[in-house]
Amino acid sequence: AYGVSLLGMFLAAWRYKKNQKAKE
Amino acid sequence: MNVVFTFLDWFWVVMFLLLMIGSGILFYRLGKRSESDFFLAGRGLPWWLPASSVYATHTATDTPMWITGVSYKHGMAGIWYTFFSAWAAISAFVSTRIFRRSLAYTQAEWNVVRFTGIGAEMLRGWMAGWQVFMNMFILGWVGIAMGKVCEFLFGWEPWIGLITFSAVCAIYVLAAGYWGVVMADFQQGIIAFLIIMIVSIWGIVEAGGPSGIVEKLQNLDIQREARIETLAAMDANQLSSVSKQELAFFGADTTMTYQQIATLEATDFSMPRTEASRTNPFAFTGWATGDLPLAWCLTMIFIAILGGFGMGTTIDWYAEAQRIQSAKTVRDATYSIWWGTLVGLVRNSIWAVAILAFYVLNPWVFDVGEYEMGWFRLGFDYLPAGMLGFFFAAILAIHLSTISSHLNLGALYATRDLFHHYAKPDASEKELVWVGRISTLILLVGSFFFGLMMEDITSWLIFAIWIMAAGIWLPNILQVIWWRFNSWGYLSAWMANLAFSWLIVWILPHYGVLPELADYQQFWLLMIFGAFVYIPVTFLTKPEDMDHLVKYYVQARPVGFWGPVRKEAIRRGLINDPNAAATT
Repeated sequence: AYGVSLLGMFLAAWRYKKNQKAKE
Repeated sequence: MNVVFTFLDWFWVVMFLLLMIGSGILFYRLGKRSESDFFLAGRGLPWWLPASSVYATHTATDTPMWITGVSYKHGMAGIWYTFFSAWAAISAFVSTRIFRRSLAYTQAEWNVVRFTGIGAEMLRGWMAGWQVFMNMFILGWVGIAMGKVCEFLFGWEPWIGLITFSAVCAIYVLAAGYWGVVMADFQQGIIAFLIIMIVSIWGIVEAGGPSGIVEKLQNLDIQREARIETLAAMDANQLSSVSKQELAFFGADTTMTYQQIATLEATDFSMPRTEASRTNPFAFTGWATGDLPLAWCLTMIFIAILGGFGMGTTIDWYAEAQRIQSAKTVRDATYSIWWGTLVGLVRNSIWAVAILAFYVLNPWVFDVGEYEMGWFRLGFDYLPAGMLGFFFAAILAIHLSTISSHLNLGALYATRDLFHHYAKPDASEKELVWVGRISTLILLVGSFFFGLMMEDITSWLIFAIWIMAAGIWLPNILQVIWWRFNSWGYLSAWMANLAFSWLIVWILPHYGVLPELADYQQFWLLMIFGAFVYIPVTFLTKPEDMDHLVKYYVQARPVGFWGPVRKEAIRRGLINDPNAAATT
């Protein structure tokens, strides 16, 4: 339960950071 | 019991299964067109299709078991347990409309429409992962309930019913996605509703109709006094052959030893209520005492009515959100939630009367595992041969409609949020449909694991999930009605609740800091404790970006405390006439 949820959260943070870098 | 099927019975069952799978294959071409088709039927459905899906999805094989359980135990007053679904009567006119206008596929996606920045994205990822797990767990829990029904009826091992019928269901969900789900739900809903009526009325007639039931209950009161006299006359040796459940039922204090009970007089047996009061839906056992206190019922009504202003205030919301978004207009979404829930509540009240009939035909069964099968027994004991197969087909309809919805819903979170939004944003429609199918299969296999391996902790997990819902109940409402509530407040509410629920339910009572509380008391405590975390966090962090909030406000038209955002929207000329904006 917690593993899948945390995995989703880290995946989201990773994609957000990646998009931020692409914008710069 | 061991049910023997004739050729005609199996004929019904096989015909029905072919109809189910056939309807899925029939919509294969529509379902595979795009992600929007595979998960929302292209958002083009008239209200009665998602309405029947709301009804059918929330009727599973364990539904008649737990409703029978509470109705057998408490009489008509037991149907208050099912009242939580009344949240939909409010939501249909409030949060349902706001959600439909937001155009979010899922509740996880709604987070990034309402909030902004990395907090919103983390919320979306967290919720999507959580829902993938939840749907897998629900599939396992509902699947093993079907396994047990088949064990009860035919003596099969529980895994046979779990795996066989979930796998049959997956055929049409894999082929046609949500198109297959909603079309099958429509016919399954009709078949299930009809047979529930037939079996229930059949059972009521068997018990002598309403007047016969009342008369039999009055006779039971007389028999009960005689039984108490007998129990009071027993010595400790004789009493030890009577189960504790029976002694509790007749009002003995079961914390006493058999020696102490043997000294009781007949007048010391305190009966909570008469048998005749089972026909009274308001037969509460006191303000906060007994097994059906009024305080519990008021908590339930409060949660249901206020919960209708929020999103995610019950576990059912996540499935309803998909149905809301598949309706072709906002009005269709409103009708689908309202009517679908109403049919369910009407059905529950008829069930409760049928269970009273079962009670007078089979009174004083003390083992919950035995009496919760009461409604199934009404059908299989009293229906004529040849109808049994039809009854089993209806049980399959009840079962498949729930399995299909959760297979597709879990796959929606995995595909739309985790894969499409985070893993591969430039995926093609064809790819997305295939990812939808693969995640459906993963959910199916995962559900076998939860059904078979987790069976002995299912009740524990259900409780754990319920208690997790308690602490985020108020934030789920605040996110809809209060502009200042931000993603950090909401995220901190989730995290704080995980800690508090463990503390209040297990850790503090274990060390004697808190007494063992009833579930509704835990709900209030968790609600208050959580607020001490997320309210300060909300005010210590910045509000969401005003551009984003204005865009959300103009599109979704939320209700509640949105003054500053509304003013800004008017200032920008996005809403012309303030009075017209208030009467949407």
